[in-house]
Amino acid sequence: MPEFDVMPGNKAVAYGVKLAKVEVIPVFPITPQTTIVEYIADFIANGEMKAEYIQSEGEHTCMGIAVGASLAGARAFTATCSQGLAYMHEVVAQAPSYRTPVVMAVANRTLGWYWSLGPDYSDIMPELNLGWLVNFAESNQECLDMVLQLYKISENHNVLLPSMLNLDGFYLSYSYERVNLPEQELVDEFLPPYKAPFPVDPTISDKWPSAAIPPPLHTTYRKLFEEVLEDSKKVISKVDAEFGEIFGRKYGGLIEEYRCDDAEAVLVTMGSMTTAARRAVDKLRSAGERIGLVKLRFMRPFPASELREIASHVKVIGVVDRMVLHGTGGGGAFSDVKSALYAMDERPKVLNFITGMGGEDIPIDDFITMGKKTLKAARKSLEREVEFIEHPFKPSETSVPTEGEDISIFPGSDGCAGCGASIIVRHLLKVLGPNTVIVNPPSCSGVNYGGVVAVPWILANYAAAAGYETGIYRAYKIKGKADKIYLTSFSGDGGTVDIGLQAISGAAERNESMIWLCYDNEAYMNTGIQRSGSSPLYASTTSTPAGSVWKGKPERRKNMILIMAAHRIPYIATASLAYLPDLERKIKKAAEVTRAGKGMAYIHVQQPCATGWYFPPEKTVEIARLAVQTGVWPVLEIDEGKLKVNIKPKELKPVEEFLKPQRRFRHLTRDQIEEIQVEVRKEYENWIELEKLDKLPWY
Amino acid sequence: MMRKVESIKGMLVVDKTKRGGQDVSSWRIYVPSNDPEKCTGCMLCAMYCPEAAIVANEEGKPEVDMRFCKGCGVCANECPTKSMKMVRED
Repeated sequence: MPEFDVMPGNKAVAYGVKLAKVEVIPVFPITPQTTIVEYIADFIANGEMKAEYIQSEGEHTCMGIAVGASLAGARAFTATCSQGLAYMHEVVAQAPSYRTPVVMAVANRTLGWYWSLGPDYSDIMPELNLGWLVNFAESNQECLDMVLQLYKISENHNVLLPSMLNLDGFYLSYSYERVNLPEQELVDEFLPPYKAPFPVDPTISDKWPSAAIPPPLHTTYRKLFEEVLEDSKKVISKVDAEFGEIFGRKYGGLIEEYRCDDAEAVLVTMGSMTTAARRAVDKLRSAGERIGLVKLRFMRPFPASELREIASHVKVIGVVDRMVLHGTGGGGAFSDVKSALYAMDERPKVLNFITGMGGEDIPIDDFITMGKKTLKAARKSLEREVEFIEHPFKPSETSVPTEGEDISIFPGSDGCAGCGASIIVRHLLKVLGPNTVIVNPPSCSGVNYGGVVAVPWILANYAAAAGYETGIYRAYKIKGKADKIYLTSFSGDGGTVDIGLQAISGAAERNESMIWLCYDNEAYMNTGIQRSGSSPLYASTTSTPAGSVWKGKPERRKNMILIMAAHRIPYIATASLAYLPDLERKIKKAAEVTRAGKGMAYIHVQQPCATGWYFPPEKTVEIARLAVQTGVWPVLEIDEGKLKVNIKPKELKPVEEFLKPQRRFRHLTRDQIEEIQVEVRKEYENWIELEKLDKLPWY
Repeated sequence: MMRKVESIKGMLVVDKTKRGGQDVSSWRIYVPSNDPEKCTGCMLCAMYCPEAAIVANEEGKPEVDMRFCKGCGVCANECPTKSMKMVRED
């Protein structure tokens, strides 16, 4: 390994994980965290690291795997942010009581509240008070170093609590900086393997962690938890000092003070914004102002006594917040700082600036303004505590008017050139018309086509999309609209076969009269081509890269058609965008079935993706056609249990004709191609066999 | 009948009457060019165009709206007579 490299924060985290010799790594992609898990996949695929790497079907399971691994005595890591972190929440809350020292990187991004990929701390807000240690990094170097430090702190038997490493999405996660790479030998010396005190392993231990206690002990255990968190402060400082001695870099424990000596005012910041705040403090200092800066490195445990110490010799504190505690009128750090100071006999004034939400930059000039306002408050009475620092917004693009009436979807989308999903959604809306409502779990399409449709396109939470659709359907039903509005999903494969499956299964069991249309590009394209439960055998994706050790995705895809058929819904079909009349007929059929209130219709359309399958964009339809002609993508329908294969090539073409033009299959050996050929033929023949039945047996 | 509702503080709504696509003409390197002599007017190109940027003109032959063409080349690749070709745009 080189001594240093220039890398984004996500890669620095991945290097930290590699150096920490983490043993179990469950992952699920979400922007702007995703490349952390891709870099780790690359390390493992190329034999640079050994670990159990599990791409789960959603974040809830992901944290479950991490907690399970840690319970069994392994060092576990995962990473997420924003909606993913919120989805994980239940298990995040469980990890501390099992005393599982998992380390999780959170590449902060705004939560819910108007979709955005941009960073702020609203995602961490609901997770702050669960008993985790919550750390914020300012630089990419700090990201790497803190992975190592946090394992050391978390695994200390006086702490034994999980830790979150927060790195600002994009500002750190995707920005390149020079990062020194510590030597493995020194890391091994600093961070010995994890020894669980009571591993869940009946062969070596008669005791194991429990999270079930009688009600009278709850208050007691909450108190004990607070004591452990208080004690962890000493461990945090000790570990930082030890790290400094070995690696020559120290960060200052719970807080870092910058030019606070003789200051009459200080700004309080967190994370990457601190760098700009330092420059602002430098400028104000050189203009003769007595101002300093406090970086909150840990939000939990909260550095209350450290802040009281600073507060005892300043007149005013200006807290800069990238999170709003809605309903309190102010920010999260502000609230904590204020309550920490309340017990003092003489308190400084506390101001709050809320800014940089949804990823907006906080420039040095803004920090100078905030610094000046804070200094002014030292001399004057306080007019208002909380101020929102806003900037005007000018839309940069104007939409182009399109001639023609009753257009349900406009040309000129954000989609990639040659996008197959675009072909599918246009024909979907061509058949269904303007009185259609589309429910869309997070996917490329939400980003690309949600903005160019003239029908309601409801962005739904990933795992809850079938819930949104059910709710809309039931509302229409009670309002007498169910036979007047077409209701369909436009969902990717992740939203269908993986994270969305539970809600879809529920809707199918209840037989809600709605269409579920899955456009299947066979990977998580929106986050950058990670494998999904629908990625085919041996496909190289960014989370199953072909390397010296890995040979592409090792598992076969889920058979979603049989899963849906097991629910006995009235209509199920697969379709191809190369056979558009067949696709349109199936959409029409699904519309008839659902409008008649007969129950759920499910259509699964393969969508070749030039960007993610790595072929030239003009071949989108050609590849789709080859998939059908080789038997890779059987085109069939199940109408009230009767299965029919709609397109039967006289003779199936060799599967190689489909595989060869795609770079995701470039690494395949002859044996692998032969294995795929056997699989494809077997599956195709299975469908032909099932077609011979009057009805599928479980209907 | 559309209901008229005054705006609600802090609530985002979509107005479908103000929607439209964007001009994507700067995305492309190649543009489709059709030879009307060879073209049979089957309009498969329009059917497969991911952007729906192709419509039939008065002669029943494809006309590409160049504001919306991303230059992907699906139309030329699917053209049965090869009358549609991709040419480098100046």
